[in-house]
Amino acid sequence: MSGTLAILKKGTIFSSLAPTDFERLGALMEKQDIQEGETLAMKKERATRFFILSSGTLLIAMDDGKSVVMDRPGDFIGMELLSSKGEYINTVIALENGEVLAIKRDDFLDLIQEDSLLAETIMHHWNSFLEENVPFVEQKEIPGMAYHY
Amino acid sequence: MYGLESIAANNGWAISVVGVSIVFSGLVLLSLSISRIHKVLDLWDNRNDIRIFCKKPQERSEPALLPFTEKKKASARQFRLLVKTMDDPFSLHRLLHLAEISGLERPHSSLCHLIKAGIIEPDHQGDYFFNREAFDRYAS
Repeated sequence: MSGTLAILKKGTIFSSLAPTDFERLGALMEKQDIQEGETLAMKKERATRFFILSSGTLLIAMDDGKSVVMDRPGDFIGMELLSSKGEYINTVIALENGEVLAIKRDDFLDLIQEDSLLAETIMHHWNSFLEENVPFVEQKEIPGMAYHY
Repeated sequence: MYGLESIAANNGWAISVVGVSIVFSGLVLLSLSISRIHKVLDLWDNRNDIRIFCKKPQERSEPALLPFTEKKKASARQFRLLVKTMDDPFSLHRLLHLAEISGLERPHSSLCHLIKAGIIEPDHQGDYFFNREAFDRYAS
């Protein structure tokens, strides 16, 4: 659990959460080893999980041949970067061996819908993260989160 | 001895001139300080723009010099050939797909190695380009 929290703290999105929120989020995470060439999420399949990179490198293959590489511990691969209306919109492939923290999409969305302050904090940092790392991805608003993501 | 005579005899005139000068200088300094105070406040308000107060932006560190074995050099050359068949900038996952169907050995980790070495770099719009300088440094 402490390892999970340490990874969450490394990323820009979750690093400013309150300790109790860390605990709640951390409790929902599951460690998963990844192997080079492994597909973590496949476009058009039902979106079941979001990911936080713990180690390794992931390639997110998007529409129109666009791609983004995530290689910093704490990078979050979820929400509009990964799914829309409950379906994966991009494919996530591991470029090298490593580890991710996986969280069920429904659990994550339930958690942030229950707590508006938590949602606001996460969305604020998430939007900054997208602007910095994936400026070409269209950002979405909070209302109707489950529908959107 | 009284009056002006006494003042003159005990350096009173000089002392009073010095006293007046000190007070006058103090008042001049005070008025100058007050007249500049808006500048100081402006400076404080915009302290983030002053270089010495600026937080150093986190620079993306230069890719560390990665070890390139002969195998990796060969792989880099193969990727370069594939890139030559593509547009510039090119699609990274299209390149990965080409590498897979071309039968390159461990295409995922090889591609990852090239990215880490800065041989393949993002254009920050979702496409990537081939950095010839980095390639020459590592793999030529």
